Amino acid sequence: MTITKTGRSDEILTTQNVVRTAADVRELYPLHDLSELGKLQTTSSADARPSLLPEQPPQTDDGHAWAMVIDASICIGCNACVVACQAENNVAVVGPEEVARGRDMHWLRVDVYDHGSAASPKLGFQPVPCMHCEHAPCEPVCPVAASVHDSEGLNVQVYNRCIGTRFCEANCPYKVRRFNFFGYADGEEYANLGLEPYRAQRNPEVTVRARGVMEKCTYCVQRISVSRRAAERDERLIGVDEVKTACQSACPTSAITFGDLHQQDSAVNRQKADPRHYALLGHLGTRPRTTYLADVRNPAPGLDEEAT
Amino acid sequence: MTSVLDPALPAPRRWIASERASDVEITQAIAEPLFAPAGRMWWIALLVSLAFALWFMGSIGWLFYQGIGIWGINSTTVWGVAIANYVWWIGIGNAGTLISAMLSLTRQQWRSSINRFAEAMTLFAVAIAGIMPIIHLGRPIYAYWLAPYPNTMALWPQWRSALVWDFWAIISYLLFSILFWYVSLIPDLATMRDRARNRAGQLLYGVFALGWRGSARHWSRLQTLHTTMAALGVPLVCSVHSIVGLDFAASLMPGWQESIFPPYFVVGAMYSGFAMVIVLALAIRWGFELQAIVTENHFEVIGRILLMASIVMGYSYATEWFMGWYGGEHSDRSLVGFEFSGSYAPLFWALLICNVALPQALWFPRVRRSLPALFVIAIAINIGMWLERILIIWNTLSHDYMPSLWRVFHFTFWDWSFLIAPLGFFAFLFLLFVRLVPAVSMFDMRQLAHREGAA
Repeated sequence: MTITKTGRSDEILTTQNVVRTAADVRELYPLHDLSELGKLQTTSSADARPSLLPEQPPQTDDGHAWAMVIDASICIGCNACVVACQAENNVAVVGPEEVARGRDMHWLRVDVYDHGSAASPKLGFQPVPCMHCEHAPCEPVCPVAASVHDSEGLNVQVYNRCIGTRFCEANCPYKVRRFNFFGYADGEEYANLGLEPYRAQRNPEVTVRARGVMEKCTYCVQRISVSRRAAERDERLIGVDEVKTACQSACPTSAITFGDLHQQDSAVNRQKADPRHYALLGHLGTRPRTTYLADVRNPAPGLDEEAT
Repeated sequence: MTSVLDPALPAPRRWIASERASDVEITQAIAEPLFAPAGRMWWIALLVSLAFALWFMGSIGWLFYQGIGIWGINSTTVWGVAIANYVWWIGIGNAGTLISAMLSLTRQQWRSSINRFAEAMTLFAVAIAGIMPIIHLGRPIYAYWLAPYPNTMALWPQWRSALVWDFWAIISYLLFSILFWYVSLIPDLATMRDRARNRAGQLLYGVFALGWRGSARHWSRLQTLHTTMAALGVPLVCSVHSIVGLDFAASLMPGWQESIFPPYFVVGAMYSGFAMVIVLALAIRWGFELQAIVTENHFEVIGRILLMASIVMGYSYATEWFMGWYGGEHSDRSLVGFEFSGSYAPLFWALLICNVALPQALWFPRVRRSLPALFVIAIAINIGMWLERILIIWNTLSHDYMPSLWRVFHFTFWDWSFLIAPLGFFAFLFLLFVRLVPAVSMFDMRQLAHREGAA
């Protein structure tokens, strides 16, 4: 094999920035020292800040309250969750030209925070799916009610109702919504380069989105539905931690936990009791259902000095 | 075409620069050019602007065919030129209504010379502004879902959204502008009907003149209706632009969620609107040789309004920066820093020069009386105000809560198309207007001449 120069130069494409500004890193990616872990207060109780927005509708006995907790301390930033989500949810491949224009379609991204410096990085990873905020900023701004809440706490996007104002994404503090600027899955596909797409290429459980509509993480609502149908068939309730999202199933370190807050013994409830628990941008009052466990480091004394 | 009213220098009267201006002379000066064949300049201008109008229509066609991906918007900076254009154009429209309604209520006589074409400017600008939010949509075919109508989905619009308020604001403002413009046009349409030399003209103007005979009762009712509409129009024009401000303020984003936005948008709209009035007044004054009717004093007072507005704008910007710092939110402070030194900083500095620094020259009476200087300042203000609107969008969306997704907007050819082509479309509509109806209100001018003692 020989390698020859093409004489061409291309931009290296990336879908996101490594965050290095100290103030941003401190706020968005808190890092605890192992020795200080005992002093942390538990913050699992719901945000008690007063709000003008209505509280959640009253829950029925068999109602669910889906939530996700992501443990930043064991996330290794491998992006398996991103790929699993893409395969599960028919997320379109947009091609390098569109990525260069900043139009990735992933419903889930892994943000990278650097507590060190460019010379000696101390990286931390934070997968960011939709937060399914209880007080979701995307909902009141949609003029046609395409962004709405369901009774189980999911923030759902009604593709057929969406007219594409994009105000929801503009008002999303987490920037997790993705817009079909072109018909990525609808006649303007990139990957098949004009060939007919394979008929079995897509997950039949998930709607393929048309040009001009907004889409985003659904907490794998189709998987919730599968479990619900199985439970109804067997005349039982959905079991504890029965529903697994695609990102959760793919995570090699089990950093992602998903489940029902109304089931006391669910894994998400256990995780939320952890003192490292925090809500991303919690001060905005969005009451996210997706929350995090902060990263923990236990540097060997004197290691930093030796390295420099 | 010969000048019926000879401009006299120095102007003997403040608002009419002619020794004598009888009713007949004023009517002739304004109406006669419409019955004469159009000049060469008009045809050239019309053809050039027609090319732009076709470019605009072609761009919209391509947009509908391809999707809004042809613009430079991306997953983070999801809004761009269409929204900035919308705010800018509706701002341009603002001044026409203010001149006719506010200046009429406050009995500012000088509005008589400029209110007609300023209102036409409003009409065309609001119409263009109304196109923008529709073509901005991902699925423009469903724009009508913002209207509450009985449907099989049993769904109404989502009333908490500022975009729904906006839908009503634009529609009511457009309807009001048409009616207000038409009401004050009726006596002049009757004059045109009476002076028309062919059957087609008599019929056309006659139908729209609604049988106006100029009786005392007609005049009395016209005045009552016009004053009532003016009283409705002033709050309406303020509410329209307040709601445009709420499109941003009713959100959660740093740099948008500010209570100053509604009044600041109203003043900004008036500012760019009056600047546009200067440009159009210069064109009409030159094109129809109406130096006696649109005097230097008119430009001088508009110059004062621009000066006042520039100070209010500077104050508003400073308030934004101060509150960003004083509020203490990290995201707000970071955004103010980004405005001055980030990716769009050169545009931001240009904005401050155009909107705040340059107009301070209007403190000097010599500048206010120099038409070339006023022209340059007016164009600069219009550029500055467009930059302000696009930067409100870009700065916030490119520098919000998530640093990992900070992305900048990249201008494409189609962004330029939607920025430039509508200007030509506007010129096209305006050129048709000045040939079809009197660009200056004849009956208002006759009244003004009597008040000024020139008749």
